Amino acid sequence: MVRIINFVFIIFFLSLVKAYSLIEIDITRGNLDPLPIAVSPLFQDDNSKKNSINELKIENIGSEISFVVENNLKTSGLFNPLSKEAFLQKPDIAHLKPRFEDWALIKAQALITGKVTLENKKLKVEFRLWDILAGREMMALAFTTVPTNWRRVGHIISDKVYERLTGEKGYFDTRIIYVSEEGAKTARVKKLAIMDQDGFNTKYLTLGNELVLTPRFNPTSQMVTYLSYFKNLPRVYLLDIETGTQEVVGDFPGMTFAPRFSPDGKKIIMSFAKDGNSDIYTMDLENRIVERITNHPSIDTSPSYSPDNQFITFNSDRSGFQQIYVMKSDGSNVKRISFGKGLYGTPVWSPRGDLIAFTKLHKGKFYIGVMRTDGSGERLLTENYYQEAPSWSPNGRVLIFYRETKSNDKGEGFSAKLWSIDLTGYNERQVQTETDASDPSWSSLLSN
Amino acid sequence: MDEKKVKQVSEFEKKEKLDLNEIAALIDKKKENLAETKKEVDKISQSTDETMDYSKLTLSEEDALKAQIFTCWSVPIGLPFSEDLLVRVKLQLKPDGTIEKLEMLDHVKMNTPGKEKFRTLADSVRRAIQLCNPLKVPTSGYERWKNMILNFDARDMLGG
Repeated sequence: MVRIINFVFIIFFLSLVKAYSLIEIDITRGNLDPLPIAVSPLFQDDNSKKNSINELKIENIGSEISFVVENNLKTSGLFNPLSKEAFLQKPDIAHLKPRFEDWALIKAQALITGKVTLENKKLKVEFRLWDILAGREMMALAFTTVPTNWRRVGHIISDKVYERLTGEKGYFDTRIIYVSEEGAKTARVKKLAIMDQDGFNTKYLTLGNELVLTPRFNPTSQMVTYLSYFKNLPRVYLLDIETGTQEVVGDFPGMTFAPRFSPDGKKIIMSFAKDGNSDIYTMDLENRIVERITNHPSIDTSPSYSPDNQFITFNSDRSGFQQIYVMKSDGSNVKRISFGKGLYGTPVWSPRGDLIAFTKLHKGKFYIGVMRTDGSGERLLTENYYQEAPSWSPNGRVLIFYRETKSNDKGEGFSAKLWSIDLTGYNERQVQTETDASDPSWSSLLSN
Repeated sequence: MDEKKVKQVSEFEKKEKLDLNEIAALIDKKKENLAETKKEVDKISQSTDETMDYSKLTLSEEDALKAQIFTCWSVPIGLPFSEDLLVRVKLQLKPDGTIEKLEMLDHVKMNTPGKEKFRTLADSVRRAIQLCNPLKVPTSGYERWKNMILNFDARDMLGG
């Protein structure tokens, strides 16, 4: 009898387990479409409006900041800013408490609102990021600065929103240094120029009397190294962007190429030709001691450090054709990593450390591509008549490079422009510059 | 040689003879086997249905739900790969698929310092579920799916 009762009990228990076991479903795919986001104009009261007209000659600085944010998010390719004409709620009310159903109606998934105050020559900007579908605030921050910094505030807001919604650091509060080019192809005037990453606030840093080449940012500061010719001899310079102070690092023999900072900013690495043979050298910026890193009869150029300082990538023709190599930062353990068809050059290690960007020449076409640091997973992102010199955004997601157009025998029709492309290879855009431009280098984030 | 040939013929004949004699029996046996197999199949299908009633959606029901959620989930593609790219959500649903209760099973992690990337992923999951509300649930068997767990796994997509 006891056995029967036990049996009935077990059956009853099992049936309960069956009835209440939960269904589990694995969701392993999602969509990669840009996230629909509404960027409401930042509210500005009448008093601040008067002050901004007086001080900045801008009537509605709140709207202007929202346009900076909107443009940044759009160019990233990861967001789809919705048309402001569709917004149903006024900026001041939305900033206090959005009517989430109104924003959901226009298919927004996130909303940025804000308020701008300009008083006593101080600009105060508050902003909030809202999750429309969850109906809650995700972030609220405020910044105070001088009024002329209003575009930077827009970039900082963009970085904060980008990081909160994508999970990676942004790259909007950054600058790009490049070589500005003007005049006929045979008599180009080349100046160093710097601008915000969105093409605004261009400043020229040299007068164009001397040829300037390959400016590169220090990853840890607003210092730049570049190459210039003085009395036909190559010189490596250091330039402090903030103070305008410039110094000569040294004169180097023969052909000198592409000085670049180490990730800690303490050294520069470059190639120059000693006794007719190009090898890779470093210079300690504190004691100015030069150290030879490669010693090979082939041409070794374009060195770039890994972000942990442990390795260097460079290109060399030691195999008979120009290919990409990786070695330890003391010059040992040299390994070839590119094995595809064509010539490979200008390797640059990603700030994330996972990829190396390069220029490839194959069958008369130039490609910008990326590969893993062991040479596997080569992906060509863009193809054109002539393009080279990729430089990474500080978050390692976007590359900026320059592209030249074909000219006729007289040099007519020639142009050089900056372009950017992200790692998907789909989001390719021309970066606006005041003049023709080449050799871009992307700074690290100005604010962290 | 001749002996061998004869032997072969005789064996063949013998075999044929045997077959003929046993045809009826074989046919009967076959019928029996078929019947048994049919019984087995019925049993299996019955048993499968039973299981599905209680702990699974049918493949087509599951596919319809997945297809709906795929379109709603905007994956934060900037997230670096890690084993943390899995968000588990427990849902309590109404018969029409409307979400009555949403519970993040790893909600503690969402507010843990250093887990901001997990929070970003969890936020995207919450948005996906809200966007897909009401879910495309089966028209019958409410008891079966009124509670369910969705495992949002971004590890494959973000390059493991």
